[in-house]
Amino acid sequence: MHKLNNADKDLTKLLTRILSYLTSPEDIVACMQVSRVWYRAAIPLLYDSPKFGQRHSPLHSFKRFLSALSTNTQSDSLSFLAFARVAHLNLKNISESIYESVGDEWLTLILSRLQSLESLNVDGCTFVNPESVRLVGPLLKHRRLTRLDVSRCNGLTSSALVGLIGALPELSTFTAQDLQCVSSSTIGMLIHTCPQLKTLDLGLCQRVDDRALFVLAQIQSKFSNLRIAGCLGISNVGISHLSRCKGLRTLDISKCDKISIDGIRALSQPPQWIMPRAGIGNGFASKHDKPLLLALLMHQTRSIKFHTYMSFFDLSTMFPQLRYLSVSFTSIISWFNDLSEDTITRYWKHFKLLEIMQLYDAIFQVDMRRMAISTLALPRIRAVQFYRPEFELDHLLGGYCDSIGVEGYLTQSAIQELAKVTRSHGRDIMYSLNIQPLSE
Amino acid sequence: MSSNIIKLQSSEGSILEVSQDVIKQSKLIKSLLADCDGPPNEAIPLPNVNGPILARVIEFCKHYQNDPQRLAMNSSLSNNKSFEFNEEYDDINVQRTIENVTEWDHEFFKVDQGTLFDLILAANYLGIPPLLDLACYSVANMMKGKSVEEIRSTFNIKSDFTPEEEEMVIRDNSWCKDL
Repeated sequence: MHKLNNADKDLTKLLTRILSYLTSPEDIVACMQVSRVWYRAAIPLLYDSPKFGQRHSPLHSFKRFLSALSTNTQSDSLSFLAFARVAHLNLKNISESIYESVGDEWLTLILSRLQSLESLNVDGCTFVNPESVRLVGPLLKHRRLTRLDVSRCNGLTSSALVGLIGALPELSTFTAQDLQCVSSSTIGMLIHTCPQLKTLDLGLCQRVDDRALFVLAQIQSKFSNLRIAGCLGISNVGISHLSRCKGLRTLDISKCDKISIDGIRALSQPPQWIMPRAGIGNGFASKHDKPLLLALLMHQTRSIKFHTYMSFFDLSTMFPQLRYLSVSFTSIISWFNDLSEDTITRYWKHFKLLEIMQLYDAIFQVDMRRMAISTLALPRIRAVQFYRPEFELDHLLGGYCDSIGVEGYLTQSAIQELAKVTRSHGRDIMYSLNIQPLSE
Repeated sequence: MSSNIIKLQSSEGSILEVSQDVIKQSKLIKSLLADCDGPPNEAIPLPNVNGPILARVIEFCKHYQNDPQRLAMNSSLSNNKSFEFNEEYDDINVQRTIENVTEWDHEFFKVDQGTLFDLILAANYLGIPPLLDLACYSVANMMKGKSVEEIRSTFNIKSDFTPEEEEMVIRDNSWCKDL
């Protein structure tokens, strides 16, 4: 008979998977004391990505983690090796109370001891401050950390952020939403220090402007995903700079109210000139030097209006690889409900590769018959997601309710109807109606 | 004989007949069938699975044959993934949960430990994620709320730690209880 011990290699290989169904850390700790094989199987569950705040407050468990980390310093001890496994640290929203705080040495401890750390999320943490970065010093470099999230760490200053980035030369994903100290000089430092940078999320950073995008466009190679949603300082000028990032694949410019369709068009054109690099190129761009976007999110960008259907379907020519598109329904409503069936079928099919479409601000009844014909014309579509704002009516019965029966509003039942129609044509497309958050 | 039926040969040589639609839940057999044109005439040998276990596996697959929800349990994660800015972590070493364990599932897994382990191994070998998940979940349930000694006696395991090592394991990992 099979047994969960050393002798049974096949089964013990699956022991980690079995233990992963234990929800209480106490159960896992008990299991790790059973035998050596069990110890090795349980270690990844507790250490690879510690989950703080399962039984105690997140702040309390994070502080216990830090004190264990600072006391187990003998390199041959079991837990020294266990801590060397920690790959993901998610400290999102852990905040200090007036009675309990986190010592400034936390960052030094994490960066010097957690050798395998790949991602660090300190979104909204109150203990991310200039002093904690200063203690790290200019010499410590962490060579495994590739993902950093410092969103809403408003205790940081510009120089502290630059110092932190300086310690992380391998960053490929940098997220800094709603962080007021990010400016063009931070971005300059970022692209200079982190040549592997691939994804940058600067949503809601009010100091990110056209100049910041000019600096950003100096990267040519791996950079591919940019989110600048809600950066109100960015205009068409900034977006046109991005046409030099020919690796750009995902762009989120939702809620950037100064950007209009002219900016998008400039983005799809080859740039006037490109930076000549050592031995390559002569400074003149060829027609291939432009971004081939796979995903374009531009909902709730008030200046983007497609006054004619031609200007909307132009997108399929500008970005023939587009797989993911989000727009506000209000930006296409002026012509959507008037198109003839023939025109719909003829033009929608130009989005050859489109897989996911999101329609925001779908407040009033979308012409469902036209919507069905439109989605059926898209050869690769998998999901159409509608978003509508919250209505007072939603709260009438003590919680969200479906605004059924209110004339003109988009309802769940209309969406279900849509699914039925496309299914009768033998296509399996997922439709959904979601409530868009009031403010983000 | 209907061409939809294929034969499976267990480790001790017994032959079981099963409809292709049922056994296609197994990734291993699905890929084997994809490699050959039409159903094979000879039985597919499965040297790692014995007859009674294979029969139970088939019973499981038959029950969930028409339950797309259960089958999709593992594929739903990957849908929109490539466009997310915050990539999902590799889900191999994170805590898992199972939703909607049905009465039928509970009855199906009311078996002795040996059979349960055999089912896990068979599910892993044949590539049937829902069966593997539920079987692992059933074994994990046998550990819940138990002390170290109780776990050892439940699974009939002798500790191979030295007393010093055991003390170190307890001391060094005590912070984990405060997670």
